Amino acid sequence: VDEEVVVDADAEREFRDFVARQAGALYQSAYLLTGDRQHAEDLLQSALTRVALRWRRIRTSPEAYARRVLYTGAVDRWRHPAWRRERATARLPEPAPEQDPAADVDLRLAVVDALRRLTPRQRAVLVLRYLEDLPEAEAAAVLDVSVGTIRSTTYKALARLRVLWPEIDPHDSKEAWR
Amino acid sequence: MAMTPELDERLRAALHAVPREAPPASLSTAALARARRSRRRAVTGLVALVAVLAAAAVTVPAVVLRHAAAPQTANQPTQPTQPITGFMVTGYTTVADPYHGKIPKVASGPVVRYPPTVYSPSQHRYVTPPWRIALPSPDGRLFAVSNAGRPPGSGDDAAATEQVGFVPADRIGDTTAVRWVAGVDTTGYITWTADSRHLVVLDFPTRPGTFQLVDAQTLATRSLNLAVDQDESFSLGLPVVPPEGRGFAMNWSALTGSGVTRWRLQYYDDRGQRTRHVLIVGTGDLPTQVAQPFSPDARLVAMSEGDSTDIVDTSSGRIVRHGVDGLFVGWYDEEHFLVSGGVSSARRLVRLVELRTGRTVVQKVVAPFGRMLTAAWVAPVRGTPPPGAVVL
Repeated sequence: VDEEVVVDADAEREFRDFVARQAGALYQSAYLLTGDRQHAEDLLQSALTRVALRWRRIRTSPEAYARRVLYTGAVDRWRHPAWRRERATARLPEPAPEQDPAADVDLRLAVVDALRRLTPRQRAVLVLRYLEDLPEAEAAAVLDVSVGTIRSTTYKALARLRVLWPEIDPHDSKEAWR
Repeated sequence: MAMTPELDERLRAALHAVPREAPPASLSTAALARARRSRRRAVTGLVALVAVLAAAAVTVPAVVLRHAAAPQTANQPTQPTQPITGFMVTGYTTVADPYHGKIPKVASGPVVRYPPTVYSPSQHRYVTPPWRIALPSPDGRLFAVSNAGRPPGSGDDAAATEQVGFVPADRIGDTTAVRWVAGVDTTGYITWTADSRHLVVLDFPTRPGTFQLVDAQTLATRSLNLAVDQDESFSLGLPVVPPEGRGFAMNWSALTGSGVTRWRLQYYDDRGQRTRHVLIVGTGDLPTQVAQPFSPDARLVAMSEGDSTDIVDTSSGRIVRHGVDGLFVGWYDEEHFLVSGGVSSARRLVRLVELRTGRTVVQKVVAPFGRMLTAAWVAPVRGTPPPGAVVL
């Protein structure tokens, strides 16, 4: 039973190398999926634990499995009451009072705030499609749903996003932001 | 509601604007530890099931179960990342309480000049280290120490510079454990970056916007020059690093006609170039002696004036909580923050305040009788709190 766990020195080194290579990207996705750095760390650690448990089977291509357990974990864990504490507020980030030469910080805060208000699956679909740039079929494979579900979820998520964050829509926003 | 290429690109740009930061270095170690524990539980459960099934016929040697539940081997990690269970007071400074029930006023300024008291993990109690400054890092693992500054009451406010050094928290008090930084002196104006990796030191002699950034592990230093317009009124403070990513923030002030201070919270990138700024009216200064004035998501920032704390929205500059009694200590989470003291009778306390209502949720006595707090620092606790520490 123990053979799947990373135990020998070579396997452990491979696993640690994999984490060193991929952790930054996975952590970025985890943060966008949870909207909270502490939750992102917990989610990522759970995903990496599952990767470690399966290492001998997936060691030749661990990226796909890691992404799958991260995203499905994000969708599943928010069904658990202990994790269902979305911190939506009544206010959206307001634009800076004066012209902002570098609006990256506002942009980050706004997108994280808007994503928080979507459902976990909507959030996961948008991050897969627009951060990781996965085609619909690959996004469907990661979340283990049909391509049709990805399409309909994307449509609903974008519609909701436009309401929550009107500035994202070039036709609705009064001022262009970069 | 048709999808447009522009919308595609805007959403893509917004998601990519979230910085790709490194997660805690212990992540792979913690994941491996959890995987091993998980597998061990499975093995233990399997052995136990076999034992129950076979109990009627044979006696299962106890050694089997003992072997299955054997402790971790020496090369396995013992400190996996655990959830934050609270915040402990890692250090504080006090002065004698001369007011005996009256409401005291504490002048703002370099509170690090007061003698520090710090928590010693090895002694499980608060001790007074042999340095005039002992500033705990936000993660509580290191102290920045120095003998800079004048002792209180010396009557001489001129800066006295001294070397700055680092000492691990579990060796606080041990003068042989200090790693001194060559070539960087401080007058006492120092602060940690949010990730506990660097110490920001006000360069001396003071030139607006010029600081030294010291790597706490390698002791390597580099100059940090924040772009400053000479015609601006300069608030002598330290830049802080908001938790939202890399870069710095510092306050600039200008007096309006009515005498109300108008602050400009200026953000900078890593190279010291200005990025965005927020205008804030009618509040105190950015408290740079605390571990982190920005909330965990950087959406809020604490501003302090003497014994009063305001909480400000960093997007709009709007004050969302005004005039909380007490010196700001740190953020607990996005909805709660910590202050020390307030009115005289509470000057020995650290209080956890709910942002929405301003209500005190819990309070703990920190300073001994007859003393009142002038500053306190906190660090997150993961798992079981250390014995003898004040934990909120």
